[in-house]
Amino acid sequence: MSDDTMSDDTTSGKPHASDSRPRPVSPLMRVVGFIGAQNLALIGGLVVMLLVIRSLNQYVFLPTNLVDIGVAVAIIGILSIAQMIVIVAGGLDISIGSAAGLASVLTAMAIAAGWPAAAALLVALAVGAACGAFNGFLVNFLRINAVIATLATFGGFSGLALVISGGRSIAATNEVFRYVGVTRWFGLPLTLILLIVVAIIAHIFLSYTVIGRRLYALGSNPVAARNSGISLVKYRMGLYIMSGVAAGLAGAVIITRTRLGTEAGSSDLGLTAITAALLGGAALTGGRGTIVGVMLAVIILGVLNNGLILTGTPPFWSNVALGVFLIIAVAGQEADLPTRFRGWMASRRRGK
Amino acid sequence: MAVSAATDTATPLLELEGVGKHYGGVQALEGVSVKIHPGTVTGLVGNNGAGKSTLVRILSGVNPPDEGTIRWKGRPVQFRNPSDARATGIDTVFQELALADDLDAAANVFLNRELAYGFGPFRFRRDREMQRQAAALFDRFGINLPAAGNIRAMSGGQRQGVAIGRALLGGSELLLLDEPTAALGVKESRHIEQLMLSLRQEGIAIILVSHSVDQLLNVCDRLLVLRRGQMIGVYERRDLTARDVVSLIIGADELETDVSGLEADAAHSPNPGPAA
Repeated sequence: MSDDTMSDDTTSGKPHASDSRPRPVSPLMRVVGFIGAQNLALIGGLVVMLLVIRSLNQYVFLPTNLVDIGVAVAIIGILSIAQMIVIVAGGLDISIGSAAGLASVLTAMAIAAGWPAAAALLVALAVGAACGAFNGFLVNFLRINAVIATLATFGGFSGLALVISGGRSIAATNEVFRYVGVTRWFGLPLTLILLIVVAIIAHIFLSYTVIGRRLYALGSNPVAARNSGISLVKYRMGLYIMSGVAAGLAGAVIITRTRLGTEAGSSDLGLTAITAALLGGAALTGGRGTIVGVMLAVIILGVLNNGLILTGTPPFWSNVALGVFLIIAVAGQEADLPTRFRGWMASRRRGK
Repeated sequence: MAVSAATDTATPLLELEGVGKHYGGVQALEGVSVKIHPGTVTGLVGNNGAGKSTLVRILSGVNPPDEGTIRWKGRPVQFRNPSDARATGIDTVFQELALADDLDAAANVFLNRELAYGFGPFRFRRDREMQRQAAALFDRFGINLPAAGNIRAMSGGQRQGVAIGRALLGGSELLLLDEPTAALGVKESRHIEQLMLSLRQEGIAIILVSHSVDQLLNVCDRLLVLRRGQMIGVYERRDLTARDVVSLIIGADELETDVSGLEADAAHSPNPGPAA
């Protein structure tokens, strides 16, 4: 309940917004409305970043480099999409990266034990689903705040992965996994195609289905959702299991890329996914966020990391940049740029 | 306290008989008996602590009563929870409105009742059809707002309209409005009063909790008066002046001692009614 009052405070009562009559819309506003002001800001930021990197390194626009970026963002992209959906519905899953790490370790062990690729993939998805179900249990039945619950499992899943793997990376050589990792269709890496397919399905689901609408309602005002008869427990349980399954899928993609199952770096993935979701326009208060936005944010983060490498910047700077982006994203949301932009356009029209 | 013959003979929509409720040893409400007919507005009045909220909670299914019977269209009913009451046909629009701000008006109206095709998790929304039907619904009941309107940009009165539209779509025949204009300005309040009258015209029964004597006299057919958990009576609007309403609410004997401020209040009423 405090969530929706908070979002109320920050966005309601803008003087220009209270008029219910339709007003003439300029073509510019139509374009802005279609793409979304937040997404336009992201596209602008991306262009500026690419130009800066281009001025420092001429190779950035080479197709091979662009494909490299695509490969690099596949894992974080899947996690960010799931994270965004959780945030839209008013939750948070800090543990999503750790669950991916745990899934990659157990899947690698299955592969090492000679299991076929399909069975190994099932292990990855099942481990992820179990992690998600556990988060859902903590949030729904023990009624632990989502931040606290998934912070606990953030450490817990990582620790479990380390215990099981003995702190080592587990080699996993499987022909199918290797094939997925190296093959390209139409010049695009399979893992990137996988991300695109996941993004399209998620977009269709959120934008056009009944469940998608209810997820936005759930995040926007859980009291209203419950009053209308929506089962909060059912939806939140499904939400965290979905997030876990996405983590399992990401765990499998980790193996296709590195041929290793490892905990190393996986917990960072969860935090990067939160950054991407927020940068992409999802509101932590729930009810707002788009797949297009989160994909743009993922591309920005991918280009950033790539740019740091191309310009020879020490890779440690990427974490600093990530922090800066997170602050920009949340500050931008607080300032409510889309509404301000509309207000600015309206005052400009009046001035004419 | 005359009851018109027409409303007396037909089967009432809702009938309460000796309804009461106590919390622990405290009798919060006792002996409420009333018949509510379709297309009527019944004002529920009383001071703070008179038992209005207790009665609202009973009717909306939040707290079941301890004694008495509730009949819906002549049939005894029991509400164990708000869904029971809603399924029966009683919908409560609470003071703090529960709307999802990130959804438009039509989406709020159709929340959890979405029109869709497909099956299981693959049910695709028919957004245009929902917009159309919400607009038609708003139109029919004189709710003046755009179906595609952004809730965040709406005034308190418009939000109230969306919440009422939601209840009407669910097929509610009796609306419980708990201080619908408490947070609204004068113009907006008039709007909601107009809306109540047009709902009444459409045969919807309304129970209105309000502290505004003006408003009660403007829209109500009858007033159900509670005082200290007891039902004082059900009074026909046409027999009452603003002054009568005030004295009914606070008790006539107390009026003698504290008359100054209240008389000023009563004098402002545009509907003084026939002299008592």
